[in-house]
Amino acid sequence: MIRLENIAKKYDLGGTNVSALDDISFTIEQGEFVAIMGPSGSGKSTLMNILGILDNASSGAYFLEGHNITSLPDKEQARIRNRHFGFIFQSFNLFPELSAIENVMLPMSYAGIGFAERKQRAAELLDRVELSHRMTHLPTMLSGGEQQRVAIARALSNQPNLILADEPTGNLPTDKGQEILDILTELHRSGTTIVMVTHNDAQGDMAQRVINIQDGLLHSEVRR
Amino acid sequence: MKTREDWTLSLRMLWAHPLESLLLVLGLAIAIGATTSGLAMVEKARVDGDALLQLPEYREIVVSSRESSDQMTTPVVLTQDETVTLSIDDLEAAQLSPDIEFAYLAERTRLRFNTSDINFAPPDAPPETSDTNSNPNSAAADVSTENAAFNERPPLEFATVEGPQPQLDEVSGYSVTTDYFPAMNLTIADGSLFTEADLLQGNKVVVLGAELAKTLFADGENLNRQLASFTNIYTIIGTLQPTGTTLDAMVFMPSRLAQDNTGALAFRGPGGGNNTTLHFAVNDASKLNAAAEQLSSWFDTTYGVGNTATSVPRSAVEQAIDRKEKTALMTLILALAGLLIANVNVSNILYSRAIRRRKQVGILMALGASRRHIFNLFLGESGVVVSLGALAGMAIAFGFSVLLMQSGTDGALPVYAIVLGMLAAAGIALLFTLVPAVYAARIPPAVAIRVE
Repeated sequence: MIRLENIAKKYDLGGTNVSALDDISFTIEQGEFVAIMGPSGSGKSTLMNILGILDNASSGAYFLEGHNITSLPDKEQARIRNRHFGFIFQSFNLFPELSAIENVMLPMSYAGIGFAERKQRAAELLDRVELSHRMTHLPTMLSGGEQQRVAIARALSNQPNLILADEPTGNLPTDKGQEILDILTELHRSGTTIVMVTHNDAQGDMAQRVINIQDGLLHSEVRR
Repeated sequence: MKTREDWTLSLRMLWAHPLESLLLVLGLAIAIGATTSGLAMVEKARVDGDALLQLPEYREIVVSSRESSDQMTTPVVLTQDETVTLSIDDLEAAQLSPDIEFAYLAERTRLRFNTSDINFAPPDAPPETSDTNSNPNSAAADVSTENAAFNERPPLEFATVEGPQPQLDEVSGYSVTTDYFPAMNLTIADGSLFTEADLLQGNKVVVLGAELAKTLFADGENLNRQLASFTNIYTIIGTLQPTGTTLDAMVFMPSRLAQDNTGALAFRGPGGGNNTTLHFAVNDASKLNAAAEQLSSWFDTTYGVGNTATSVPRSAVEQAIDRKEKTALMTLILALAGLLIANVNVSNILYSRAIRRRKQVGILMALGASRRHIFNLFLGESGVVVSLGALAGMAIAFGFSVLLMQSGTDGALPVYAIVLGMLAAAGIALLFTLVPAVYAARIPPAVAIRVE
């Protein structure tokens, strides 16, 4: 499904080239659950940004379902992010001005889905994460766990091929974090590809494969 | 295109910072209101000026004898003791220039009707005059004629007419020569205008303005009806088409002529004196000065330098219009300066908002928003602020217009100019808000998403 070939990312900091990623190559198959692990500053987030085409690699090639998407126009990148990827962030990143259901409906509006359909689909997704009773609540009225469940519903709104989760339990207590992991596990079982960045070894153990990044290099790749 | 959720997000973002949003709208409202008013004032000055210069009286050259020098705006040095008497022959001076279309006389006059309750004066005292002001020399021509006749002390017999009587005690108007009507674009609606023969024979005929024709008699019938004024009986021979001016409420009669000491038919002015003002209308306003020079030269040669005064009223009006237009333009420039300052402030505030919302931009991009979506989102928010400011600004401009109207010094500002001015000012304001929208759209998503 995804193939990275010799991906490198360099930043120009005041005339000095800093390498954030170098020579990263791996593939992720459809339906896989992959954990990306590594210490702080190792390049995990940069790798996630490149995987989610929020950032472009300085060199190398990125293939999605056989298509080279390394360098695409903004509009096309936005379309791919919208239709193929679902993002889950550590700090939930819901819009506090929008209700739970409006947050879930937002990505579908960019996909051109009609209002009635996206409302119905958002309600179904919130029901799936057991938040049908909280649909009209603003994020500030929800607990952290509830907010992250809304974020998961939002990530699933356009039925993406790939869920990119960046430390999805990092801001949650253990029990609430487990609820989120259970949902992700359930999603994986239903065939969704999941790439999750985590510091937590136990969470890494849930994945089928762990990719370790250190100092911007692919340190190890372990299949469970 | 903005989606429903985008609009919800925009409006709730504005509502989330009510004081900041209110100040943005208020600042824009004042600046747009001032600019709109300024633009409308410039347009009004232009339109009013054009309309004023279209009036027939500002396509005229006025020649006066020194008898009426007190009416002139500049002092006239009298070089001779004798008063110049302008005769009807002087209107022939119009032939000096092919650009002069009409030559006529027009003097204010008033007809006071012999109604049943009129206060007839005793035979040994002058009858009440119907002067248009306190100066007896400027009283109406017909009344003055009656005064002169009265002073010769013939037995007075006030005229009376049978049949319907006018509903008014008196009417004002002009005693004119025949060219007056075409020169003032007055055309007949019913009956006829008086002729050169009426003028030369001193016929007692009158023509009514359109509004006066409706109100003079209760039944609205006028043609061939008679009006008694002191010793004279006037016959109504025509009514005019409406003009929408004060002329509609006036009466028009032939100028009085009398032989002067040379035997020429001179105009008999108020108080029995000789009339002094001739009007020469040109077909093209740009030819006014050249024609005026020709006339001035001819009258100087004929009557001596300084005994007649030739003036072009249009020149003074043009200067007044120019002053008014410049004043309006200065007001507009000041208002535009205010708009510029307000727009820079609004742009700065929206820019700082865009910086504060970088994280939001990153999330939206992760969810599938393109740069165009982000641009539209921010521009939509700016559009709401500018629209509210523009509407409030337009209300301010309308309020200013009402104040102007109520002050009585000037009329209301043109509505179309207010609307167009508001759109122009709002357009300028919207241009300034492009800066924060472009900035937000150019934030790299990877950078935006990292902002905490």
